[in-house]
Amino acid sequence: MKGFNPFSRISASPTRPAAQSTSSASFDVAALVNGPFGDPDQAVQPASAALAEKLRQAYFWIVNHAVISPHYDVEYNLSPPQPIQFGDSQTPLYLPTDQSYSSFILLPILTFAARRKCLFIGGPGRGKTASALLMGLLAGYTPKQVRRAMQHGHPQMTVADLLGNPMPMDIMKAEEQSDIRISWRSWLDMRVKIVDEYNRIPTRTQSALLTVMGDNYAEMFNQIHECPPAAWYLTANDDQGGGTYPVIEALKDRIDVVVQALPFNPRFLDELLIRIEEGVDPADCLPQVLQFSEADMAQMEADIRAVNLPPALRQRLEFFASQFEFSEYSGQQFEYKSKDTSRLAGVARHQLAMLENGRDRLADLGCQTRNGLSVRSLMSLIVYAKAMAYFRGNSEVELNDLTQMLPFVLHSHLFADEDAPFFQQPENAAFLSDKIGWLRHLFQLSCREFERQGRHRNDEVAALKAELDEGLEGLSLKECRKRLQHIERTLQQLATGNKLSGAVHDDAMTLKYLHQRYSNYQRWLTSQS
Amino acid sequence: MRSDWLAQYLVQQADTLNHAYRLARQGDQAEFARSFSGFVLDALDPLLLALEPWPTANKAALAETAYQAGLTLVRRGWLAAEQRALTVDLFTTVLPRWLAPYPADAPRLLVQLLNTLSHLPSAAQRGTLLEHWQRCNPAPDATPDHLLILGWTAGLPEFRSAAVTALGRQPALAEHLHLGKPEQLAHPWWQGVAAGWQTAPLELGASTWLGGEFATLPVLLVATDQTLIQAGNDCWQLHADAWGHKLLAHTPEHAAPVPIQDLQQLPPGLSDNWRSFDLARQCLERPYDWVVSFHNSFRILIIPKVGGQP
Repeated sequence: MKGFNPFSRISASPTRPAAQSTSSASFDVAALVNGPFGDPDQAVQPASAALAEKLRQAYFWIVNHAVISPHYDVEYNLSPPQPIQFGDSQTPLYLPTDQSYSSFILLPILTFAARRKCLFIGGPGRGKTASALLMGLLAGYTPKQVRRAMQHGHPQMTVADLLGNPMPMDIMKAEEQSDIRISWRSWLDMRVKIVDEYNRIPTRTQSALLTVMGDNYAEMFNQIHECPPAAWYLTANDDQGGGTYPVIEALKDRIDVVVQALPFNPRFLDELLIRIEEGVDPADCLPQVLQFSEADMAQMEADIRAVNLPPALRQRLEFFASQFEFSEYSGQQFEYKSKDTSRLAGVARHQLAMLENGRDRLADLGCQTRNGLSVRSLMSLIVYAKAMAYFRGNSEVELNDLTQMLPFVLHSHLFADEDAPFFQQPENAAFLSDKIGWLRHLFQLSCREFERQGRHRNDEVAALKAELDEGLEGLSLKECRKRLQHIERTLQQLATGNKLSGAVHDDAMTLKYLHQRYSNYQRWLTSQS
Repeated sequence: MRSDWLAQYLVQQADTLNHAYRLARQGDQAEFARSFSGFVLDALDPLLLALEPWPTANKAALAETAYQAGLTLVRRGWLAAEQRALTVDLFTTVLPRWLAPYPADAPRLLVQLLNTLSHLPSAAQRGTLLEHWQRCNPAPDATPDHLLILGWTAGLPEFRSAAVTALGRQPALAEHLHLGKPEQLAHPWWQGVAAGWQTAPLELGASTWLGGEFATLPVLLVATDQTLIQAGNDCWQLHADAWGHKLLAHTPEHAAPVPIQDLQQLPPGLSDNWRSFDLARQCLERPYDWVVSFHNSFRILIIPKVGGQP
């Protein structure tokens, strides 16, 4: 019977009402027939909610009924929130002035909508697996199906355990490998894939998992099984290599977002009590109306990709990303001045740090990290910022979407340099353990520097690049020479007016690229004439 | 239990129903159980008995919705002593006659009616609505309009303009309510042919010392065709007509306070409506009434103009 269990209730009112002009007090006449007795339309048939609204309903259903999560750490504000200071450390608690969210539920939901890969970390019994299970239910599977399809990592897990087994009779009869049929495991065809305790899987099996995660196919005995696009959820008790086997780097890099299970607040023990006394498992009560079909998931993914990332925000992101890879003394040639160069050569960081003499290692954000940002992590960041905007019912990404998503995406991609002067400051010591807080702070510092440098008002390199992006078709030799001179002049200004930092390095490399494009074009024009 | 079908249904669905009940119960458990079993026996049972000829699927859908509604009714106190008779009457008299021809639409219609009733704070107002409802028994298509019109006349002035528009679509109901000509309905203090114009002033808030709705002395504000009342940090839009009054929370972007006037500036005819020691502070003239606030009272006084004239 539908509609009987309070766990099955979903919000009848819009979960995130569109901002209305407060000067108009007009209201919807339909409000008269809505009220505490429920939605009249749902008394007959479920309303076909728009996908974004349905996604928010799913979020609120999970937050309100399924997972007891009173943490609202993804904060949005319409006006500056007033901090309330606690303790000797004067730790501020902010009361958000706009709808804010619990990352532990929000990030998995966004992963579901964008069909990406999410890692839950946290101690045992904090609801990591339960949350992953709920995501499976959202995809329309039954709790039994999801539980059976969940892959539980263990030290003896073989590739066959993970992917499937060859048919015994075929092994006996086959003359070629291609004759051996494989009984593929059913979880490979699911739209939500869950791997529990993935850091307990042996290295060889991890490699097979990497193929499925990265390339969406499984391979055994020369047989290929193509998997449908899926949202992935992995769990681990420890993200620092505390599992049975070290997780291979490539597998780690495939994970788009890391979300930490926050501790249970004992004030909510009454809700646990009800569950025990009533024998209720919220996983069994997900309202059918909140389930997403394959077409819904494909549509959501397409809608998320269609969300606009404004150029002004993209510039901030470019500036942020340019801070970290640069390492002045890692290479002689300009192109090789990257942390990756010294990492590949096995040069210790502190040796390079000793060579530094010009830049302020406290102010330079690049000094806070051991590595730079990979292309994949930047792509993940853009996707999640778009997904966040979509979730909030916007067609354009806002700065706060980036600020809020960035720490969860870069959690396992950007690593703090514990020896950096920044972390030696007493007020910053906590950032070494609070990675989410540090990454958020890092982005805020970067935005501040971006504004201090006035890049939001005047970014000459971006303007030059935009000029090139318009195309070289029909560009005259005279104009080409003019632009080349402009590039050379800009490079000169960049070299004389700034210390060599990550952003300056990237700007210089961009200008060099532009110079190459124009000079090649100029050579071609000259040869034609 | 008189309805065999309901008895069987309850037995068949016992686990789910009991589960729903346990999760919904609040407060004194014995009292909740007593009230809810009273609802099942005295309201749900007669309703399903009266609708016995319906197809089983339709009865099950209605029973499901009504059972859930019953839990909400108990939680909201509609089965407490003073309101019980009205609720039982709704299920035993009003609903069987109204819903009988519409088995497929019954759950939706029931929820619509209950939701509208829930907007009316007093049992008396709900009683007024149901009294008219029984005489109309509107078809499913006309139900939203009827709820709008009868909800308005039962004490929901915020739905006034939508209800007046709906009256144009429901001439039979307009006739039944004896509301007069459409041009008269434009006047918020017109009560219909029988009662005529309302002339008595309407009072909001409370006496000199007790604030009533208002935490501090209320101040009148105006913002684009709206009359607003501010008291402390709270701000409301004023809705008032002959059928009732309501303050709806509303914070406009721009609102200007009504100028403070001394007593000599106020129209002399209005002073009959307040006490000799009252000190009027603001006096806002609107097309159909005057709204007055006071220096020494938490009251807001709305003085109707009869027929559009002060």
